[in-house]
Amino acid sequence: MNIEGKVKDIISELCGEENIENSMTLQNDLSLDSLLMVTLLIEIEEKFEITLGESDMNPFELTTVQSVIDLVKKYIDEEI
Amino acid sequence: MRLWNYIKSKMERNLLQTVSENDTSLTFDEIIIFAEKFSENLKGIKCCAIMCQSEMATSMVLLSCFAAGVTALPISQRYGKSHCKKILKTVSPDVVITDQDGEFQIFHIKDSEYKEPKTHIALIMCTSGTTGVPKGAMLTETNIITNVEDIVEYFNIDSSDTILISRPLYHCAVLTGEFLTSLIKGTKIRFYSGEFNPIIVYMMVKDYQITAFCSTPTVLSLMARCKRYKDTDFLKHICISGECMGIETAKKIADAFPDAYIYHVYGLTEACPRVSYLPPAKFNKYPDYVGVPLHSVSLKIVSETGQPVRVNEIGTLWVKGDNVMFGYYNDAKKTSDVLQDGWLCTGDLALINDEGLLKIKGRRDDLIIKAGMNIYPQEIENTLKEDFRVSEVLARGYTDDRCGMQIELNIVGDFSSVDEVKELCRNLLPSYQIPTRINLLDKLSKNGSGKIKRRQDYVGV
Repeated sequence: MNIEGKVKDIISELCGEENIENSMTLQNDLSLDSLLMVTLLIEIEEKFEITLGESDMNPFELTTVQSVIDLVKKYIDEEI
Repeated sequence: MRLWNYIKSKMERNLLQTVSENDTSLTFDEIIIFAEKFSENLKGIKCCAIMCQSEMATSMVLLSCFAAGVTALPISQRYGKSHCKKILKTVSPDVVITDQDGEFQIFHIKDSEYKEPKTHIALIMCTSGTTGVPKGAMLTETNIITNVEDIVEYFNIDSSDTILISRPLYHCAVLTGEFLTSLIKGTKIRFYSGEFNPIIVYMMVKDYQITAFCSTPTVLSLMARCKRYKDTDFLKHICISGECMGIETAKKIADAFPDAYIYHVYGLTEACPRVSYLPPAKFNKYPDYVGVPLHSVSLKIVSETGQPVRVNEIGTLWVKGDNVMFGYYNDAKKTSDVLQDGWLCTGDLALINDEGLLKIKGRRDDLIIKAGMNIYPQEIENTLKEDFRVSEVLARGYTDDRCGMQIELNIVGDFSSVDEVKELCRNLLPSYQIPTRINLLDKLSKNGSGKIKRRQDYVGV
């Protein structure tokens, strides 16, 4: 599965929403609260086996699903 | 002002030690000077509500109240406006102090109805009020000094340590067990007033070489999942409290922080709050026990009929000691419900094992009595959490018109259907614990301190 699909799977599991679109906002459209936003970053690290840099560790800088996908792409190649 | 003199005399041993938050840092010496000067603004006031956004600001006003001999009422805005209003209505203080834009402001309340009882009350700590109406536990200077002295005896931090305080001082465990204990021990204090974020906590632990940290099992287990904590072996003292902790969660925390002394402690606001602690050396063997009573605390566990139970038998836990509150503010009925002949009914079900260690089984209010069987929701929850697919779970009782008390399970996790959850229950739980109603959910509601709301209405997806 590509990065986009895997990120959407992680977000879907956290918020329970099945149809995740790239433009959706994490806090408003998908109702991720602060604890879930943090869990999202931890899951990203676990499932992609990456360690995010300190400047990328503030979950509140992530606004949309697309911004999470872009974040992961900074760390790994497209196909995994 | 005995409490202030006690705190001040201990702080004077480490006048150059610091209390910090963000870029603000003050020495103990500067804090003492501030508290005594600011206390002059509180002359003639009986009760002062503290509604500061910064925890460091809260701590400074709190000490000023102690210096002035004024009853302090800390309020956390993290619980929302409506809860703050309820507290102000329940206690009706003379003034409210805020820290808008970094400046302290004192608002006098015209129709204050606060009446101090015959004894001087140093602090009123409001419980979260899961049932809706907050109760104000009145704590005397003796209550606080007694409990802090007992905590200082076992919590092995000193002036070479730095503690990170990341929860509001509105919680008694934070105010007494972290803040006052650190002042007495001369420990360097760093406050963090933002939303909980294990990654920010990690950065602070690393940047400020934090050696002591206290939190709940939920928060610590999330921190345990951050693999980067592996390079923070200087974090030596971890104190866990606030929720019943299962063995699996305890193991995850112990594995993530192998070099730390882990203190599993128990208490309640009404006991100022600490009642017992498990010595770190026993954590690996008895992770779900909360240890032995503090020096000044006596315990008894009694059956439904009021008789003391035997070793390993479950009953209701009562505690006694100079740490036990004076009563609930303006509520003689609720006070007499829990305080009897100097004993405080904790409302918790507990047992003491043959080594004299205390174990909390759950809230008496949460106990599910089904067909004469006592079922502890936390037991069901901890068993189900052993399955990797389960992320959050809440078990509780409900009354069925035909069958009487039954078990409802609210669960969040990697399940495609309720049938999968049913199968998991059948595999892991004894038959009497298998729930009759299962709600598969996106998430469970939590209160301001991250605890799952037990009395919330949940509807399955």
